Amino acid sequence: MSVEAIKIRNRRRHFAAPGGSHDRLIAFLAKALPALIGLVAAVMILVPLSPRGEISFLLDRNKVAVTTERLKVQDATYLGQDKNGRDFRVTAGTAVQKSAATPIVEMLDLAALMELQDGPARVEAPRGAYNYDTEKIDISGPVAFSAPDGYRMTTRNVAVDLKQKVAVGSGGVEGAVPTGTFRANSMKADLENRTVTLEGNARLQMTPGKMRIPK
Amino acid sequence: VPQLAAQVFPGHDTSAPVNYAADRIELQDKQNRVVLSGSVDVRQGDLRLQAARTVVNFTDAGSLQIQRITASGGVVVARGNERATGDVAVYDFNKKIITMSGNATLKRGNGDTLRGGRFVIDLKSGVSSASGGRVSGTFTVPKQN
Repeated sequence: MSVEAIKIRNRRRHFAAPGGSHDRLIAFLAKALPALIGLVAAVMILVPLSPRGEISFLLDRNKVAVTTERLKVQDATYLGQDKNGRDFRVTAGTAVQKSAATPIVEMLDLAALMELQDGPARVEAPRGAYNYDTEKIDISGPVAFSAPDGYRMTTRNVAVDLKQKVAVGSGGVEGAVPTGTFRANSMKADLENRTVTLEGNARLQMTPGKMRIPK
Repeated sequence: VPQLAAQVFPGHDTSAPVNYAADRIELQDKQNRVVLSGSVDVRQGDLRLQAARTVVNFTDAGSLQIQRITASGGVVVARGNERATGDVAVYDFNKKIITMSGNATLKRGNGDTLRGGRFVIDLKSGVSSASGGRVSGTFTVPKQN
């Protein structure tokens, strides 16, 4: 055989000879690799238990960012019952509840539909705040109350108590009922019995012959 | 029953708007009634009625028709320079008369005064007649000089 072939053979023999570099490597690996497997197993077991390595996190309710507008509802409807157990509904174009703490819902073009002894009645207002705990609507601005057979009352800035079926206004009220137009310091309207009690330099104008406000 | 007639309140329009002012007004739609109390001041045209308490009865079928205003408690009915006073007054819109009763007196601008148990003032003709019980009157006669 050629000289190179002999050289290559010698190197291979030397490499394969027992106790050579290859054998030492294999011997080392025979010990190192199982140890490594043990180590990895240990790490896999121990690391989650150790306190330092907390992988999970806790959402702290106080630190999380809270939205100011708690609830905004389109075409909202709130249901309730009055003192005689009759249903009423308060519907609104848009209703915004500032926060869960305050049960007050600011409403735009709201309508309250309720049952009276002589039939259904409606309270309508462009703006109001409905407190669904006390079931009262604080109306800022104009409000129209209409009851069966054409009874209508229009006034402003009153608080309507849907449970008691009473609307009260103070600090100067004015309005109109089929009987005539009125003005006074304060007013208490019992929607069920259709009485309006005006207190404090009350004024009323009745125009004989005026057609009752058509239904 | 002696009748004493005096020309007063001629030609009053009872279908003119009526304005009320009072400390307290209660509108009772179902009873077709308005109850006023506390220095009540009712005005219609140039007729003015003041009293402590008044009750207005009206009907509301097709259109609003005031039937009657009942005033009590130091009633004063005034128009122009004529003043009638009494304990109770009933203004009947249909008959267009005001009935004053309870030591009623009627003073006219020219100083005439008429006293009697009961007065009926006819708003159409403006003639008022006292009737019932003693009627007394003092009249001033214009001096012819």
